[in-house]
Amino acid sequence: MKEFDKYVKDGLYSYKSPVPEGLWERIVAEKDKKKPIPIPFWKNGYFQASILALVTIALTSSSYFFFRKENTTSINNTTKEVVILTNNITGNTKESNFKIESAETNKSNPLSIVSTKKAKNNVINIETNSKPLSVVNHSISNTIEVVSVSKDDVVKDSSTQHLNAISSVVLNKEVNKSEETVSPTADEHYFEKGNIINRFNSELANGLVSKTLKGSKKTITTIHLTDRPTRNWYLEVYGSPDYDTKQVSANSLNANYLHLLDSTQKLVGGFTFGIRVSKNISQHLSIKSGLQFKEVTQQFKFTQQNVTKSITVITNTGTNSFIETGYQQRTVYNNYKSIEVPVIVSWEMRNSKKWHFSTDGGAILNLTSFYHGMTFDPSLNSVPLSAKQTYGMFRSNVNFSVYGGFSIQRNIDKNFDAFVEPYLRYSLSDNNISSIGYNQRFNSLGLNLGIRYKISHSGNKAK
Amino acid sequence: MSIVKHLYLLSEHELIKGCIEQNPQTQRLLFEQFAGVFMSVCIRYAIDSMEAEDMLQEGFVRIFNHLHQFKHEGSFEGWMRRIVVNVCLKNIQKRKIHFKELEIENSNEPQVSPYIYGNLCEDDLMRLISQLPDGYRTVFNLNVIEGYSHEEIAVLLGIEASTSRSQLVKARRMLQNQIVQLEKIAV
Repeated sequence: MKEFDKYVKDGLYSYKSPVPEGLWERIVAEKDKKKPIPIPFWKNGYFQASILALVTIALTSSSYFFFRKENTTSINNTTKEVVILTNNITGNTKESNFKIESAETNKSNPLSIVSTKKAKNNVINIETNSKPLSVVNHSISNTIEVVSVSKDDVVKDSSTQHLNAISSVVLNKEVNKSEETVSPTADEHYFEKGNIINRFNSELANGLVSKTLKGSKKTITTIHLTDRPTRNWYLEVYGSPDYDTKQVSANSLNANYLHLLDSTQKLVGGFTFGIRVSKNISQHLSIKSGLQFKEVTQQFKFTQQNVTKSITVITNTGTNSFIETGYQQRTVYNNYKSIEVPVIVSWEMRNSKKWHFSTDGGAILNLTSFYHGMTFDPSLNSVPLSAKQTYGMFRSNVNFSVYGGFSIQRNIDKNFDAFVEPYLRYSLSDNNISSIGYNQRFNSLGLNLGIRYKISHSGNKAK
Repeated sequence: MSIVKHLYLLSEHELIKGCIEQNPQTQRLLFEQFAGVFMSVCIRYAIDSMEAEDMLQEGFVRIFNHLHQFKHEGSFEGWMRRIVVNVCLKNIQKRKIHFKELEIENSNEPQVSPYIYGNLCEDDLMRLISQLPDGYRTVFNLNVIEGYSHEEIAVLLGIEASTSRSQLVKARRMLQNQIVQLEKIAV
């Protein structure tokens, strides 16, 4: 048997048959007609990934500078005087020395600082001769900007946004004996019961206690400082309608196979939903991870050959049965389903008490993928769409995508935010095996709509 | 003529490069070098010479259009040959071959003496193979001559590997019977 096979192979593998005349001319004519269509540069994967990266970077940086500039402008408009205090912490001691680093004076309504006194446990009292002070920014480096504010100034969103950003100011509930004689003034009522208290988050807003001394125009503003940044945990539940695109390229021989797939299959939509946990790792930076489900739906219209139908004909002479063989036009909706783990880093910019903005970037790791429907195999037969049944045409667990998005959050309750997050995910690996002649991957443009719940808050404890 | 002689001295790498650059002379040279071999491949899969010509034409068009995808891994001729075979299979699919189980009168495998092989030329073999039923011929060509495994054939043709095996056994038996008959006639 082997001898026979060897004999045939040796004889025929390199056997040359005469080539008909004029075939080369026909090939040349056909070749010029069927020149390969160059892939447009905007469909190139590297180009798309670069654009995604550039857009994310541009969005992040522009948003940062935009909001930063807006705040600065706003503060300047409302500021009578700006005092920057630096908290120098030495070693492990909690001793803090505050000093005036710079000052900016508006001559029309000067604010003179009478004294800055350091009390116990990082408490600082700032005595001024006019209106109460509001802390507008505190970074991890313990630099504090203190701005004198008027009633009208404080209620502006730009100021409240800054006050929200204070991560280390807590309420000094203990009143010194010297302050017992202090009676609330209109300003104090304003700070304690007015707009600020109502508009700000819990202890963050309460970190500022201002007293106007009785019979005096002087105001003492007391703030508490801690060195730890905020550590908040959030739980996010979200869902997104997705606009999916299919990126297909032939990798070897099957251009016609690819053309057939392209002409019979069309993506008609998809969705994603999931749950993830978010944790602040610094004032602006947070990391998110969880579990999500994604489904891409594809319409597959094809002609199924050799469909048989039994026909029974009843006549006067009896009953005859016939088997009719033909073809059938079928429309099948294929489902590509994935269970994934998103790992996302978010840079948050807080513009106001109510509205937060952040840019997100990261990766989506595929845990497993499974399929339902039908497709053509390389020999152009319609076969079930399954990782197991279609000769392993599809991968079951190796999808990896990059993710970029922009999130807009609105505070709707003390612990709840609603958010909208347009995003783009770009797949870096194919969902089919390359040996079938083409590479296929799905990219998505989506709009996450979700709710964020504040699970816990650690770092700054109210004293 | 001198140009053609010069081109015959081109290395495989230069030949590929010239074809990618759409150099007509290099493309013509490639055609002349391999057209004969690939023509015989097409004849073995086709039902007639017209279909074989069409297969070869489409095969070369594909080779020229996809030559830039050749990664210089493995044999260049093997790469081109796979393209041609795929074109043949695509055409076969259009004909919708049914892999029939034919009844063969003599179910035993005939004993073919090795000396009979010496009396057969390649043309005889080509003719005998072309007389096989479509399904037998396709599986026989793919397995015996092109070297595909039954699993690969199953994927290519959309059939079970066991079907491929049985088709091959029957093709081989039918071919050997024909050879024996041919030898008897000759004697």
